[in-house]
Amino acid sequence: MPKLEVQSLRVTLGRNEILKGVSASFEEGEIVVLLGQSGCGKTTLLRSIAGLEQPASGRIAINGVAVFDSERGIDVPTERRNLGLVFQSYALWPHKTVQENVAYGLKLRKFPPAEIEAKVAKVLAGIGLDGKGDRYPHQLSGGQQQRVALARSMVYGPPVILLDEPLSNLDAKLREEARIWIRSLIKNLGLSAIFVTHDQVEALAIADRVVLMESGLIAQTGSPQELYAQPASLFAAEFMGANNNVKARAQPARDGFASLSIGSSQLEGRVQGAVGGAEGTAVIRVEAVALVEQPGPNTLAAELEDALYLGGKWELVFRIGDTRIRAFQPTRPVEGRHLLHFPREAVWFFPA
Amino acid sequence: MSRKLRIALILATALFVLAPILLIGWQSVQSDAFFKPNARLSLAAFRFVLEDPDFYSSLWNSVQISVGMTLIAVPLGSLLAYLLVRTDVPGAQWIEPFVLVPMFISSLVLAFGYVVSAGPVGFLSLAAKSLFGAVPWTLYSKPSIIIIAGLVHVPHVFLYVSTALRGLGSDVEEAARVSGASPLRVAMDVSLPMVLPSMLFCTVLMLFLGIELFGLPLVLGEPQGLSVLATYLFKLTNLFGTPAYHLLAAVAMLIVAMTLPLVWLQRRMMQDADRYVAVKGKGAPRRRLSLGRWRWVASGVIVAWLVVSVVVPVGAVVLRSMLKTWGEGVPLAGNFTLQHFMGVFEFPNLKRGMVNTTLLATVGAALSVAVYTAVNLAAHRWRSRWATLLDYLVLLPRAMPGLVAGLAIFWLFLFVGVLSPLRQTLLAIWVAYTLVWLGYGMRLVSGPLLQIGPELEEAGRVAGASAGLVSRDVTLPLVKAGLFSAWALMFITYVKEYSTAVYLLGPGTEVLGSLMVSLWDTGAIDTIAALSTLNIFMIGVGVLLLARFGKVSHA
Repeated sequence: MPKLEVQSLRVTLGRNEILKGVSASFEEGEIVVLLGQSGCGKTTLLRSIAGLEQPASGRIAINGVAVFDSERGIDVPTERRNLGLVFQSYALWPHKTVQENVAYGLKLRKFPPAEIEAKVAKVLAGIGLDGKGDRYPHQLSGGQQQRVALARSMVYGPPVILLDEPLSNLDAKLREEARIWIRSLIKNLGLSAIFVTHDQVEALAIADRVVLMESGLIAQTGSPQELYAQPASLFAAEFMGANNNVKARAQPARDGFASLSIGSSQLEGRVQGAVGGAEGTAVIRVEAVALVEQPGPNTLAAELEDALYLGGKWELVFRIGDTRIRAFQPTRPVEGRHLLHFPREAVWFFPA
Repeated sequence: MSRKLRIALILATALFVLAPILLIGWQSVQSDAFFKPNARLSLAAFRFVLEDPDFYSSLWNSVQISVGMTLIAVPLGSLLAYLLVRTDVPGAQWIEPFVLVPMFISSLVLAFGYVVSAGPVGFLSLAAKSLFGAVPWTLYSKPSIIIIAGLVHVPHVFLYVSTALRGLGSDVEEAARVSGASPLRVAMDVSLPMVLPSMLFCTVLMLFLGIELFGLPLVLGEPQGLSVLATYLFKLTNLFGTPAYHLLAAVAMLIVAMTLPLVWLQRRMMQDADRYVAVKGKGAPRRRLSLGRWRWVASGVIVAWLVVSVVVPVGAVVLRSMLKTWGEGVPLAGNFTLQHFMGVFEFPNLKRGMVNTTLLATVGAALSVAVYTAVNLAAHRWRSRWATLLDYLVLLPRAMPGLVAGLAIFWLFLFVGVLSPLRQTLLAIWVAYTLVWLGYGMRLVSGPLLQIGPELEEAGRVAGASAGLVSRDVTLPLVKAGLFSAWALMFITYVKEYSTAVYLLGPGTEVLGSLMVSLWDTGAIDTIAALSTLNIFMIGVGVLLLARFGKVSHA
């Protein structure tokens, strides 16, 4: 039985349909990342699960018990869903100390004071904030506040904790450290978590499973590797990674592969997604483009146009006819003509 | 707060707001007092009023005064705001706190201040007379009322326009400077258009306050028989010896018919203005515009305004309260006394007035803030038709001038069986005050409430607290400071208030304001000056409280 289940959930705001019938299930002990651009509905989905948004229809069940069911008229109020939620702004109560912030959920659950103290001390030690219980939130750094918010959401042992872009207020360095320890903390405690982010790198790093959302619908679900290596749609392919996108025209496909005309050049590529017309877009991950010495299949001559140093590697801009192609390379090649190889598994054609 | 409690509170507010206005509405279409057996449905009251030439002259005076004071207050207030916020006028940070003073002092007290300074035997008038042989001005006249009303309403405009100017990032102005515009061009082409919504809002606010004007025309107009709508209503009481309830109600309805659209318009404009502010620039550290030689002139203009609208009336009324007597040829030296203040504490009604005013301003204001907070919480972060209903409900009392609301509450306490034993108690006054200032108080409280990030409350819900517990444990502790400063502002407001308590005045319900109104009829200027001084002193206490607890908010 899934820990949390969402079935054909619809949320409307005025005339806008934010969620257009989303179904997903979340397994025990799994970290699922809801990934998508701003406005795709990922935060709305999270807030609907928490009971902070009122869906128009659908069903949400935690541990098999419905907390929202439009058909049966069930709508359990937020406070009785027993979930943990980490807000993007942390939402630490400024008038309560760290200790009081974390203890609040336990107090509401009528734990005896001694037990509350012990539990809070333990969780604060777990996040490296032991001895800071009597501080107020504004006396902590951003990273510390973020950890208090996490402690507050998990101290009473909710079946699922929800995290709404919890790292977006940290600066880049801190964010990379935080995603490592958040993941290990959740994994060590064996918690189930739903993590919302718009950052694909963060999503791939932290997730057991990624749910990619696009304008109120789920575009693709799968492991981070599946999403990156086998995007099901042009949207999924473009959303992940750094890409070369070029207009292409495909010959009829054989065994999933087809010959593509890109400008005056020809490339072999894999036809992805639904069957469509001959016109479409070819997507090639930047890191898949290789500089080679020898001519061969799927290898084209290109003029080096520009080179940008990224620190540790170079981003090269080539020109083939009217088409620009980017590639990564550890060193800067000489000016002039070069040969670029495009592995045919890495050239994805999406019919328009 | 549970849904049931929310709805109950909103319904209670609806009853509280609608009962008085409906009672007045019902009374206005009766042929006689509504409780009399021979009262029938009739338009006789409206017919009488609409055929009364005095009504038309009062209406015409109201319109003239209200337009006139708007034409003075809006440009002057905006100019003051621009000078103090945007230019290097000398002493800006010293002058600014004083600019708001006229807003805090009751306009009735200011009117008395002008009487004792510039009236026929005022300090300044007699000084001018000994210089020029005659007084070169007439205080009891329409132009005087217009000028004084205009000057004392400058702070309202200043408050709105200066807030808008502060919200305006200096980068939008700097962008214009870089593009080649001179400072004056920047002011005209960029700053002015961006604060124009605020100025338009102030224009409507001023027209509205002008229609409501009571204290100034009562003191400065009545001696010459000059009536405005509010004083016309006030005089109707005494016109026939017995109160002409249906006539009073008809006039009240006519006044509300004029003020309600203005209130509604203000609300619309306020929403638009807020939208406008959302596109403001970034608040970069701003450089003030240099006025060069003109800065001293500008400073002089501001100081002159302060002298005329604060120093002269307040100084005069305080001075007069300490003089045994005053008139032509009376020297100041050896004339000082504190006997008028002693008198206040000897007459039982005046003493009660002091005690009652203090009680209302402290306990009463705190209770009102509690009521406003409860009603606010009822609609707080609730997307529902009920919340919208409440939004519109609180507009109604704003459209009721204090005099009208006081009258309505008086009738309610007179004729609702359970309430009638309480008519001669402070409770009646408190109910009337709370009703009259409902819209203002709701805004005072909703400001801090809306500043709390919604996620702080949501975090409480997720942690397992019901809506009621979230209000108690999260929302209220966070708005505590805001509630205290709301209380300080209500303290000042209740000390100032005079028109609402006029109809409720009786043994046990005296307050300073209504006592002064009734004393003005008898011409007891010694006592009036002493009461005014005490009133100013109490306002001073309120201002100190406010300085302690927080910042001035919009009226």
